[in-house]
Amino acid sequence: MDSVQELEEIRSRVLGEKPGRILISMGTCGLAAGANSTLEASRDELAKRKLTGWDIVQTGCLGLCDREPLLVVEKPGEARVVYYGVNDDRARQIIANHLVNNYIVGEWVLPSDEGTQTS
Amino acid sequence: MPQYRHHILVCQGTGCLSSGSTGVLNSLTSEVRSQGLKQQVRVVKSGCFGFCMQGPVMIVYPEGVFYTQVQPDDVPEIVSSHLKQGKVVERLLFKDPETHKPVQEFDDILFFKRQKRLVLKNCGAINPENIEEYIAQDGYFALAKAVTEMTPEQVIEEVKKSGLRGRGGGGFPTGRKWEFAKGAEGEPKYVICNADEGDPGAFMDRSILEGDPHAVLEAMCIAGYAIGSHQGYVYVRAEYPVAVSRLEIAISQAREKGLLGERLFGTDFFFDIDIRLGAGAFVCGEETSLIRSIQGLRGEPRPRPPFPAKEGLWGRPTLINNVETLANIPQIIRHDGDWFASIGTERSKGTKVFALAGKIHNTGLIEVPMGTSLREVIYNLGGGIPKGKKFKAAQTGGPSGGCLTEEHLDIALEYDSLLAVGSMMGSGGMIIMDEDSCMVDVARFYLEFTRDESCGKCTPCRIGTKRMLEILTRITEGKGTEKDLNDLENLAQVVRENSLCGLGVSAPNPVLSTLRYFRQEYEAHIHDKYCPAGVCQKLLAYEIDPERCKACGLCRRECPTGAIKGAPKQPHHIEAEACAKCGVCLSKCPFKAISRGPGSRRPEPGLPAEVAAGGDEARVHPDSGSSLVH
Ligand SMILES: Cc1cc2nc3c(=O)[nH]c(=O)nc-3n(C[C@H](O)[C@H](O)[C@H](O)COP(=O)(O)O)c2cc1C
Repeated sequence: MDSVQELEEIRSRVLGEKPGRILISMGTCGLAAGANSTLEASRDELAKRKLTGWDIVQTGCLGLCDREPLLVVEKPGEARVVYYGVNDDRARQIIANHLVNNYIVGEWVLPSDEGTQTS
Repeated sequence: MPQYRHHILVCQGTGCLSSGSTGVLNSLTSEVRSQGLKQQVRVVKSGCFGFCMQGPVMIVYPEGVFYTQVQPDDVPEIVSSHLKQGKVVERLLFKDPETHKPVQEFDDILFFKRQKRLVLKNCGAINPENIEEYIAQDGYFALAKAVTEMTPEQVIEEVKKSGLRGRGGGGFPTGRKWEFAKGAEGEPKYVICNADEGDPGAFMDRSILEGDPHAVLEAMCIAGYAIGSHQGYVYVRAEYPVAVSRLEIAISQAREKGLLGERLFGTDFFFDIDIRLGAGAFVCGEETSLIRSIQGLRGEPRPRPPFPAKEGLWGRPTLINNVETLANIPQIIRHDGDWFASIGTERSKGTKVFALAGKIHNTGLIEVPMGTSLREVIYNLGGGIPKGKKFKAAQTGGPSGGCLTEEHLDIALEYDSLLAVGSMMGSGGMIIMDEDSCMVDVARFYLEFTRDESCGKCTPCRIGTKRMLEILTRITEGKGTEKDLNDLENLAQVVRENSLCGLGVSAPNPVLSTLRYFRQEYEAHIHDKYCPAGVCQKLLAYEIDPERCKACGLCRRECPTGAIKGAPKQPHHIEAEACAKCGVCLSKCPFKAISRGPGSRRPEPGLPAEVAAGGDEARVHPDSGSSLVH
């Protein structure tokens, strides 16, 4: 690479794209908890529903290894939502409810006081 | 048959009919026709969805969009916006009035909010297999800045100013190490990333490599520029296959983009990185053993000095840094040293990643500023101890470290304060123990690990860890004596002072620290033949509940040592002296009449008066005889 301008071009291009994204944590902990089938089911469900314009991104560990597989939904201009314990069935339902119908499946959303204790 | 792009199901159940779905259906049919979509959209009457209170309802396939409370007036918009342009009509989507509380945004989740994620900032946020996502998060900008705007001396100066210390366990100032490597005579020089991570319970290095491998590669390039090296190696254990494959992908993408290789950013600087796989021996995390291992030799340490910075790989000056240490570097260069030094404490700068494991609610990885209290980590981030149990101890620094107890809950987690209480930061593994953990057994576990992992090159470590383990095993089996405690302490001293490398030097730490804080547990095992936590198998007492026993005789027949006595129609009992604690009776009893527990304290005979009195009494009781001992 010859210059920092090239880096800048890539950066603004990638940041500019910003389609809706599904992030699936696929570190060793996520994989052990079945993130591969979460990924497969998500791909399949997006295809079945012909939802183009959504990226599925395989990421690393978020630190909550206990609650894997974790799946994050990023809709442009909206709050990022983290779902936990997302097996393939939950993944399909999250896509139907959250992505398609904007209906967040509260039951599987990581609560804000997760990982904390008042003692 | 026409290929429809959309199927629309309009509910014609009684509920929806009464809320006006006939009008919706008619309007839809005519609107589809008038907007010219008849060949592409098929309207279907459907039965009840069971959502009558939200009627009239319809579903648009293939996406499965669910519209509620649709009025005929809404239909033209659905057709023109959704069916023609693919834009969902948001206002008609279902909103649950009850559960429609504001959703937890990612950034509001306290688990993340209470952390300071610098090293882990990209983990879980970007695709590690796509270099462009890393670049979009300012990746490789630090390298660009270093090679085009800074001299090597300036790079080292920033790292020194940052106060960054090695995260691999020793806590050596990183900037000084870079300076030594730069100043050392000899060519070529090497940069090694230590990704051996042998400490049981630690997995932060693995997570960094899996989630953000480019941060480590970028840092190695910067280090290479700073010390005048052109070749780096990542030494990673083969037991981390996901990390290895992501590293491979990352390296090849960086080469493709020209971020590894010749003439980086149009300068004369060039650098490349290769992977070397380790076979997973703990001692190969030690730098001199690691270097031998890369050279294809047996993984054994050698005395230092000379340090690797002077005489390392192939006898050449070599900079060796841990994964997490390196992962801090790009941000230090992108901001500056002072920015980094503003985080943390006086003598420990920046953040630290801890791997939480054991008896804790959230096993996982967290990152906090140096100096955060143990209490914050365990309770506010770790979620506390499960099942309402009581916190007993946290082992930090793995097999080289020691335990922190309840009295240390408010200790600031940083290098020096941990050393002061007989533990150490180590790599950041933290194993939490609750009231059900036996500290003698914990010490035995770690000693078993170091005994197994000792390379055998030096005698104090090879034989010392073996003898210490023998003593600890004896104690957990109820065969320990007072003399054993003295021997253990003496041996610990010898092993610590005479071993060749850090493995042996630190191996006694878990023993010394549990002896320091839980001596009474050792004494209970030795004098009372009693394991207070009820963990040590050989000290457990089996008992038959006479109320529940139906005298079926099954346990008596199964007992391999004939320790169970009883006659037909009489509740059976176990003779403790003969019992081998195998547990067969417990598993066979159909009436759940047999239980296992810590039993009662069984003092040794021949002890001072008051203890001996207990001994006399014990002899009367068939269950608590002490003849096991001699
Ligand atoms: C027995 C033993 C095992 C070690 N294992 C590791 C390890 O797994 N990873 C690591 O980074 N450092 C390990 N170290 C420390 C290394 O020798 C070395 O100090 C470290 O890699 C230097 O990097 P840093 O300055 O960035 O911490 C170990 C040391 C000893 C004595």
